[in-house]
Amino acid sequence: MTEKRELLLSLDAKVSIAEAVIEDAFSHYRRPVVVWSGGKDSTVVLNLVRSVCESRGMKMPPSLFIDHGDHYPETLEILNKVSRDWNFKIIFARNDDLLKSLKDGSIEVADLNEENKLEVKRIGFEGGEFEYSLETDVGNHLLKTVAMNNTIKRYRFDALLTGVRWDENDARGSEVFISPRDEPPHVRVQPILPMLEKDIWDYIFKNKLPIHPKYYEGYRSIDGIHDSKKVSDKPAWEQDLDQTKERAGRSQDKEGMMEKLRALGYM
Amino acid sequence: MTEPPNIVLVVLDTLRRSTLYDQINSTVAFKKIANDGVLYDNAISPASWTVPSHASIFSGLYPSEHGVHRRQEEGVMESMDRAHSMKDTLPERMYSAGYETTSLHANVLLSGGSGFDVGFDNCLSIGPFEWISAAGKSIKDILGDVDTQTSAALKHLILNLKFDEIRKILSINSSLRKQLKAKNFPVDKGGTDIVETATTYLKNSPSFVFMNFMESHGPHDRLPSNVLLWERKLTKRTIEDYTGDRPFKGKEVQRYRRSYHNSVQVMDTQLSKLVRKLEEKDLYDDTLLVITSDHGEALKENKFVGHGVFLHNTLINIPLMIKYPQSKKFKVENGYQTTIDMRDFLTVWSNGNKIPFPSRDVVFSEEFGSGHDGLSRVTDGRIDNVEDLNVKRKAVLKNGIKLVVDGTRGIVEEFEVDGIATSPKERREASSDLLEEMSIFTGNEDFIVPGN
Repeated sequence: MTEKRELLLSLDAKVSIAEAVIEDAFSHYRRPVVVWSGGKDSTVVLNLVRSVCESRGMKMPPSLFIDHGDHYPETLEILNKVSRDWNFKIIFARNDDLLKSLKDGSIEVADLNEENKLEVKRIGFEGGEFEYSLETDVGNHLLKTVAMNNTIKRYRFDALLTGVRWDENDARGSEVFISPRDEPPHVRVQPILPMLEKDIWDYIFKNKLPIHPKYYEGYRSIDGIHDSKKVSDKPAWEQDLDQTKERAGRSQDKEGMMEKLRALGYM
Repeated sequence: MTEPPNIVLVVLDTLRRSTLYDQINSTVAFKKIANDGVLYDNAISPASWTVPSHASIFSGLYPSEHGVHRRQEEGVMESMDRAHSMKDTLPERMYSAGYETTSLHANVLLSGGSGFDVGFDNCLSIGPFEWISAAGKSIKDILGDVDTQTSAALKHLILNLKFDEIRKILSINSSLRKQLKAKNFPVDKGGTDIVETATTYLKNSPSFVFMNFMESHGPHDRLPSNVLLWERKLTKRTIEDYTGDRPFKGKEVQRYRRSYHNSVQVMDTQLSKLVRKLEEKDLYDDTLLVITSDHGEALKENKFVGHGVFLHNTLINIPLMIKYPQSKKFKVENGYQTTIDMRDFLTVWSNGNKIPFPSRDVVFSEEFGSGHDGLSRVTDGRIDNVEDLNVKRKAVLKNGIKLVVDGTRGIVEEFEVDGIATSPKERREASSDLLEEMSIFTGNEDFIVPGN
């Protein structure tokens, strides 16, 4: 019998592990930030951070929101409400130069600044124009990774707390709790690696955490408007979590390009 | 990737930006280095006294992050203890990159065992401060438990008929004075010997040489007239004479300002010698030469004389000039430069890559209490309220706007737009934006940002 490793641990144990990882990161890193999308996984991380901060008597670190310009209005509402209620700052990581160059749903490389042109080259894109989308290598890299890396540099973040989980896809299966990155230098702190999608929902209900309205409508992932599609009419947590793909709402090749993007610094 | 260059990092202790830049055209070495390199107009020190500022240069962190600063009710030495906890410092990085690492300094706070020596192959304290502290120690040994002001100590010896001890003390003091005079102290506070020593360590191996010069620190043109020269507790007055902590009256302020101004010419002579030595060894072209400071000096512009405690422009605006290898020129990006970027900047060069010194949209400077000897500044009337001394302060600078917060009382102390004091109410949006920047990271600190 080979049972999935994540099933061998109870949720309580996973929560304890997560808190220990966060606690350890806070004692080593001076400028931590929680990467928060308003979605379920990162909201769980945020709440774990909140409870560790309470026990250490420290203020909440800021959160980093990757603003690719294609969010549901509900996302911004949940951002504002939670950051106000829990008393922490949100840093918006945005590629302003790219968003400024956006015309009729596409971007001409020639309109971009030198830094973005260099990044276009780095990702291996050779065309003169690309679509405004999170589903292409070049779009995803410029809208998310470049924006995020610049924000890390600007605020000198030394530890990024993320909601990455092992069971999301194969590329993430080999991740470790704290892993170093070079460009820019920082560490990724990944406290909820062992949590399954079901654990996330159990934790959310148990702790009465805010839930993004799109999950009620049947979305399993809420990244971008054009990127996420409804999988079923049932709320996300009532869907068959074991037998269907969590990122099913996202386009297929996107998960395939994850490996490549991760090599360039994306989560 | 190319061969890593030699790296020389010069800290001109206590030299503020304006005093150097205003007279740079009448200098030789400074002018040459600025011409061959890049002159930065917006460099800000992370703190306003030696210990936290050097800890920032070495660790790449602000004082609130590295913690090597004075906390309330602490002495200089307690804050120094934390210097040992710094990790992954500039000298350690240079050492790991294969450099021979050398620290040549006149400021005793950086000496062996201070924590600022970690990562250096060679760490040498150079200059008269060593002799002064040795003489002070001998005198203390003679005095035994008597630990009080000069006059009281002498009175004690006379009353107890200890004339032999008095004779010994006066003799130690007189030979110290002779030694100091021979070295042209206090105009020269070790600079000549530092440059001389540096030639031994500058070689193409590659080498990293860190130098700290004290010529701009304290009065500069004459030996104090007092009889005795030794440790602070015994003779506060004489120590104040060379640290600049003595109350200044009338003409003394003029004299102090003049000698502070002249220290630039003194340093110019030393740096000319350094440049000449580098050229003689055929090392000048390939060397990455950085000239900066750890903080400035207040010359009674805001009542205050000295450094530490506050974050006035006179205290945190510092010089920065960089002569890149082969005199390569880089465009200076908009924004500010901060010496917390020194470690990572030099690391990139030590790995054989080339980058310009970075500029930032937003920089900070921080103080956490009275630094050194703050209380004497209250007793002699240089500061109005003792409460002003022992507060935590942070300055944030962005888009030509500067805001200083007293985080103990949670009030805005200074607000300036393009160097002009302005009411935060007149620029509500900008002031709340700067307060927002300041409140992003407060973590474990007990620092009150107004409105948050």
